[in-house]
Amino acid sequence: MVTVVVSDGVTFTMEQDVAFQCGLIADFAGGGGDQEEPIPIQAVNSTVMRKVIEYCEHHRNDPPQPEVPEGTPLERKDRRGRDAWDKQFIQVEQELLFEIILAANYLNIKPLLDLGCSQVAEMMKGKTPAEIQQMFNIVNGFTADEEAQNGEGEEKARNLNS
Amino acid sequence: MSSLPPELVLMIVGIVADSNVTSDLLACTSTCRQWNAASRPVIFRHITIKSERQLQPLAECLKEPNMKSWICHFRIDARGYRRSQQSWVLQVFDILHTYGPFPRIQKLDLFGVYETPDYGTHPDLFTTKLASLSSVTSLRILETALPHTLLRSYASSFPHLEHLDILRSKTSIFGIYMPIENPDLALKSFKFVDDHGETDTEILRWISTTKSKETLQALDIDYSISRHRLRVHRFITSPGFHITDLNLSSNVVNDDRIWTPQSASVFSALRTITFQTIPTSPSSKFLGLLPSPELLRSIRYETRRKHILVTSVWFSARCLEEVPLDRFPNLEEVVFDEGRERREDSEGPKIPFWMTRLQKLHPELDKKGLFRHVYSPRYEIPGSWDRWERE
Repeated sequence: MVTVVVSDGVTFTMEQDVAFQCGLIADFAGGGGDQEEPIPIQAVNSTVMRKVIEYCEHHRNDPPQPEVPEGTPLERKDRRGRDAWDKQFIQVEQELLFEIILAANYLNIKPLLDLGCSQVAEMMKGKTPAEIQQMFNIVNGFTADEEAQNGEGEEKARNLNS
Repeated sequence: MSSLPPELVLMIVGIVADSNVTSDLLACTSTCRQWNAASRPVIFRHITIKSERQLQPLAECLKEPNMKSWICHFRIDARGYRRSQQSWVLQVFDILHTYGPFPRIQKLDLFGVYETPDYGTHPDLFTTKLASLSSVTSLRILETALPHTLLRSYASSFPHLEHLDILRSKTSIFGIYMPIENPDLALKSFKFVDDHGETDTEILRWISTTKSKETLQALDIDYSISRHRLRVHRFITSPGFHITDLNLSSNVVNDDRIWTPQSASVFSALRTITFQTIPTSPSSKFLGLLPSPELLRSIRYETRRKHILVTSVWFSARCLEEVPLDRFPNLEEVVFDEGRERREDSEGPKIPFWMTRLQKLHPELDKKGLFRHVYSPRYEIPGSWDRWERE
């Protein structure tokens, strides 16, 4: 068993195959046996850690992702894809989604990081810049000159990708 | 959102870019400074030139110093233009030559680009122009007709070429005297799709005389109506290859003259085999002959191709009984891939009959979750390729 303590002081105990999906924990534990001392995970709070553990428990029996050689066609890379459970799992409030992404990045869980980032990309589909700014609470901060440069760049990009 | 670290913003922008929707990427550039900085290089990662009117914008863009480090994938798509209307294609190469080199361009697509009088007669001139693209590792040639002189230029212009796809191109005009211009050519993958039935297997012989014989790992041969499958057989079964990923079309699979113990012995390194058809007796028997069954990880049946000569496929339940899945102790998946997403109103069972049948024949493997039914796009080529697949 592996025990971690998160930023708000809550302790979680997991079986090794669940915990070791987090690259950070696997590195910390050195791949050895049970850890007596709780591993401090200061960058993640208990709400997010519960979601992370839920994900890792669901995927505990997944085969390891095969090494994909460079140049492999796209359809061969994405063999597993997102299953229905993943899609349901990642349907969370936006704030929590970003926290999951940051946690996956910190804990080094590549499939969860991919899932979270894909969800953000999915949410951006078909949106205008203004809609994206509103959705993610972003202030654009462009000067008038920069806006003009953006317009020029946009025209160039359209010309070369039409 | 703005508080996401730059590497995660880059990752999200990369996923948006993979969907190939320009308007979504452009929206990223106008969202905020951080997203602008992350998406500008990505937006120019893929360049597609389809007409003469893009030449001036291309030249203007390439004047920007950053552009050289941004472009990774360059496509010239001249489909729809007759040979006599393709002078603008030469100008594209001239522009690239003028502003090159482009050290990050690794993928080059030439779609519908025909031989031209200048370059056909003076291939060295063409080679000179291509020098700005010497970093290319992946070359895709689609729906075109190339003389052997140009292919020779390609072979010598791209010293790092690893992935070569020749798709639906009239390769018969390669001629029988294929020059071996670059014996150091070390391909890792070769895809050859020819639905014209005019293929000339000299290109296969040419590849087998280069270093590719040692380096080739993935081979995808699709002759939907070719009469030359036995010549293909001579290529794929000549000793010395170490192919790990083999993908074969229906008429190659279904010829039991091809699948002999001798041919099976050539595939001692095989880890993945894909049959672009339903299971048939020859392919099933072939699986039983593979000399290193412990290496095989994946068997895929791609039943998606509309042009499969289904009437000529001898198929019965007995074929399924002959699929020796028990031989492969490390098998991780048996995939039935139907290509396009099934329509909700489609009639018939959701899971194909032959998969259900195999599940019943191998319940112990079914329990392990080996069998999967998927839909995945075969090629990411837009335009007429899609239309062709729908026919």
